[in-house]
Amino acid sequence: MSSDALLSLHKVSRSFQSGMETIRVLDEVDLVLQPRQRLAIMGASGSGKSTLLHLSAGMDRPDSGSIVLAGQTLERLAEPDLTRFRARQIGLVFQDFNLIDSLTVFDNIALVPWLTKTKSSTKAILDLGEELGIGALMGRFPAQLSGGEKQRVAIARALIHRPALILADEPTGSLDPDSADTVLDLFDQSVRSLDCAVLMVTHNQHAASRMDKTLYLSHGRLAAGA
Amino acid sequence: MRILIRSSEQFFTRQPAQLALALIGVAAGVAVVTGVALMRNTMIDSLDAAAKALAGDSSLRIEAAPGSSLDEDWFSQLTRQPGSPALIPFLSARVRSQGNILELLATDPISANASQTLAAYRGTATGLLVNPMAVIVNRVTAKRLTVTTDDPIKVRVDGRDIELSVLAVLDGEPWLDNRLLMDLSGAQQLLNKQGQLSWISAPTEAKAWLEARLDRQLKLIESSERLASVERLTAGFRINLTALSLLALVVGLFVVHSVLSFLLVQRQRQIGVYRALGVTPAQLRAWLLFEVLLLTLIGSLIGLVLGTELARALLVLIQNPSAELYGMVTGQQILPSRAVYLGILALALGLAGLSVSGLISSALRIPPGQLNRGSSPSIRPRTRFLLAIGLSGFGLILLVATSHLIAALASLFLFLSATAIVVPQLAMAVVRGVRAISPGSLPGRALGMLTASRQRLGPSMAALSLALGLSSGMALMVDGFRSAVDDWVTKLLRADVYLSLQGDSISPMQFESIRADWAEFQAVSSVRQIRQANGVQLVAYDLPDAARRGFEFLAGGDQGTWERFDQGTGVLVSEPLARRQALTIGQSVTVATPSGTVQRPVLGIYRDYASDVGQIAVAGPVFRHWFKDRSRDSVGLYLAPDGKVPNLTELAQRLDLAPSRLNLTLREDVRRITLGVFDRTFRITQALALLVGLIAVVSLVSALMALGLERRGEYATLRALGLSRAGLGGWVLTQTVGLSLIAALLAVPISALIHAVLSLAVQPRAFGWTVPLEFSVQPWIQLLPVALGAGVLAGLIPAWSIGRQHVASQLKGQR
Repeated sequence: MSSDALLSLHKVSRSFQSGMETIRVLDEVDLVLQPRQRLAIMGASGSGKSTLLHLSAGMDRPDSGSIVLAGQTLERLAEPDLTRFRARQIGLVFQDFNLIDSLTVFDNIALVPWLTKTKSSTKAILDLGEELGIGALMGRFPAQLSGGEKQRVAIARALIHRPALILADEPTGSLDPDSADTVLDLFDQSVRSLDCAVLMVTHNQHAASRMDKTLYLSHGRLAAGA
Repeated sequence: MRILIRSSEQFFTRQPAQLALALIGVAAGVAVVTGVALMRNTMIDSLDAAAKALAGDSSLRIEAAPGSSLDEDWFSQLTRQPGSPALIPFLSARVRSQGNILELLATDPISANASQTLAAYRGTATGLLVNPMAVIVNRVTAKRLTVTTDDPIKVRVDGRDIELSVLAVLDGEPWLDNRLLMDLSGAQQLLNKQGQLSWISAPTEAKAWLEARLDRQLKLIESSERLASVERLTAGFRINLTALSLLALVVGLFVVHSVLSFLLVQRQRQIGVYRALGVTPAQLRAWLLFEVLLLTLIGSLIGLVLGTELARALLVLIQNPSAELYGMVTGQQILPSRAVYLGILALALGLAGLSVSGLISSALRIPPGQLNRGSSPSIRPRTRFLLAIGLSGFGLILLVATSHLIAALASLFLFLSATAIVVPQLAMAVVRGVRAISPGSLPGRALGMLTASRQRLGPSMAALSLALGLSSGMALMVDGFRSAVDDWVTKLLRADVYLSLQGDSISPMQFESIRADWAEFQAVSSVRQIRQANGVQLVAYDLPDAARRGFEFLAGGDQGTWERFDQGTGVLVSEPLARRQALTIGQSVTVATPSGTVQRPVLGIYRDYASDVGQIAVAGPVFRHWFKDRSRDSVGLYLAPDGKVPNLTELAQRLDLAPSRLNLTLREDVRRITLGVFDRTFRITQALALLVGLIAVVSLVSALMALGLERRGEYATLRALGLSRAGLGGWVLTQTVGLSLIAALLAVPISALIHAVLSLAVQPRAFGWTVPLEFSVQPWIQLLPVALGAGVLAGLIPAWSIGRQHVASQLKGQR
């Protein structure tokens, strides 16, 4: 494993029970992500892309292997340290946005600094909002937003605390092509300006092409080509 | 339809906690109603059970007319007459043993019916004859007194401790619950009532024969009259308990409503698909109604079983208060009643169907093909508000326009229904207020999240507020009532010490001796009372001026009142009697005397919390003129300046009696005993209010678990974004404790409303007493720990359940 890597997965395996059957979703996967590197993972539905993402975020535990993020072996961290570590180091962008319905756009973005107890000024939130084209929507609730607007809010939430790594799970999966393009442009722009590394799981070839490198997950294994 | 029902089965299997909570809610509500109903029936049925067992089902009673005693000679005379029916003599008295009030019931054990009843127990009838100090008990009583055959039982009779022996312990025989069966002559000796009886039992068919031969001093009472009299006597007590139990059922049904509301929201998509595929509204209604009724049926069956056990526990609670207040010894054994069970089952099913009819109607409005999970349709705030106003208005009309107890209870239910409708809105307004004041704090964020779930939480918030309001409203009423009773008894008790004789009245000679010769006392008051045929107490007072100042008049009571009272040209009546018979100053009341009925106008109405039966007070000389009865039940002794109360032994010597024959009670002790009876009487209502509170907590747990399930996506997001497990637990507990505290806050005005209606309308109509509307803060302060406890309890399970899941699986569950 490279000691300079931001994220390293070494021989990581994960299986799930489905009735009587054990499905090996990830089979001794190795992955290295450098700081500021942007990586896309593609694969068929059910190939384990989201599982890979969840393991990288410490939201799930591998059956075997190890995961090191920013020099910290995740398996050695127990709750609540793992949660705190994840919150500080990682920004998450979900396919279904996962905004909190009862919070305004502003509060949704401010949620992460509040959870991590890191300082974040109102100005910083507003500036980021302007950058992502949602500056005028700060007082609205998620139910009042379009899909594209919601995803931009989610991106702002992921970036506000300037994490080292963005994990994006099908960020354009719920968007129409035009909205998807707009979101991708803004996403691209923002992560470059903040120098974040990105690990993006996607079906979208166009989205993947914006990353530095694309890997393919198939039958539990990662490969460079499709 | 089978497919729809199979989908219900699958659905409930995946939501076992919700299913369990729905069943618990229904079961608990039904259990309370059943427990109170069975207890109530046992209270009444057990009254005459012993007499029926020993004298046959339909019987008449020959009792002494008011003011006279039933001499055994009457029995001898009647039985010697040609054609005499089968008459059975009885003597009854209350005794105490190990803190329990029991009935000592004595009869001729070899009379036809008694023999028949005891025939299954060989040797018992003759055993009583040859062992005059022996008693027969049943297993329940023996267990209560921890005795068995041949054991001694110590009983306290008229201040004396007597040892009896247990001749036999009979299995079953519920008519012997809390009773000691004894031979008549033994009991007469024990009670110092030689030659006296309490009543003579006769067969119904002998009515005409007896009416033709009975002396004026005797009266004939049918068992139905007696039963009706007892039912009237205890009506207020029983109706109050019934109303409380029905409230418990309503709160329990809130749980069902809450769960079904959640289930409906969860299945909106499914319902949309069914409608798109061709399921008709009628089929949908039938399916959802089937679910509700099945849930309610299962929960109710569990509740009926639990309620039968609860009835046993409630009977223990009312044992002593029933004897102290109404002179009734109640049975211990519950006799399950098919009519009660079926009635409660029908009520639960009916109310459940009614409570979810709105939900089902909203389900029918889901358009075919609606695949997005939306919020459940609800009544608009303005409509809610108008509905609440309407219900309150109708309740107020009922309260003001009629004077019936049922109308007062109905209006209370209407007021509570109105508050249940507006509480959810008010609760969410408080939540929004907290968020507005402190949006960045944990309470602000955690509670703010709940505004999106107001329809889920509404019924549970209403249930918890109502339950907390009921509990503290009852506490306010009881506190205020207790304070009023304390003030009243303190004011009324003017004598320094009270004297009576154990099991006997003070003879005229003894009274004259007390009045003339006891120099320590400057004044003496006396009381003599007899029960009239209609149950009203006729009380004869001889009162010095100091005693008269203790009367609290609600009408009349000026100097002219007492003058006319002393002259015998009018009477005083107690408040309960005045209310029952709608008496005002100047109206006449009838007094039955040995020489016929007498009419006298009412001169004054005085406050009396000692009995809800009612009293007519006459001057002592007037009473003695009517009844030729110069005895006194008790005297009040007023110390002269510098006088000291002599000790019991000295006073007994003066009366040439054994000290154990005297009851000498200081004023403060009388007060303490009175308040003790009061506290025991209200213990049962406090127990029921607690049960209602517990059911409401179940309702809140159910709603918050449903909330947790519904919002699991958001909780998963929070966990993913950086909220630790402990942090999520704190988040959930902040929500539950916050909601409970808000419910407690809203319970304050609800409790004030309940207190006002109970004190100003229900109590006067049920018991005839006015109770001042006083407010103490203690019940409100006590709401705080209760609400905190309820909130923590309600949050623990959801917090644990949500927190233990992996973030990844929670997130996946949202796809």
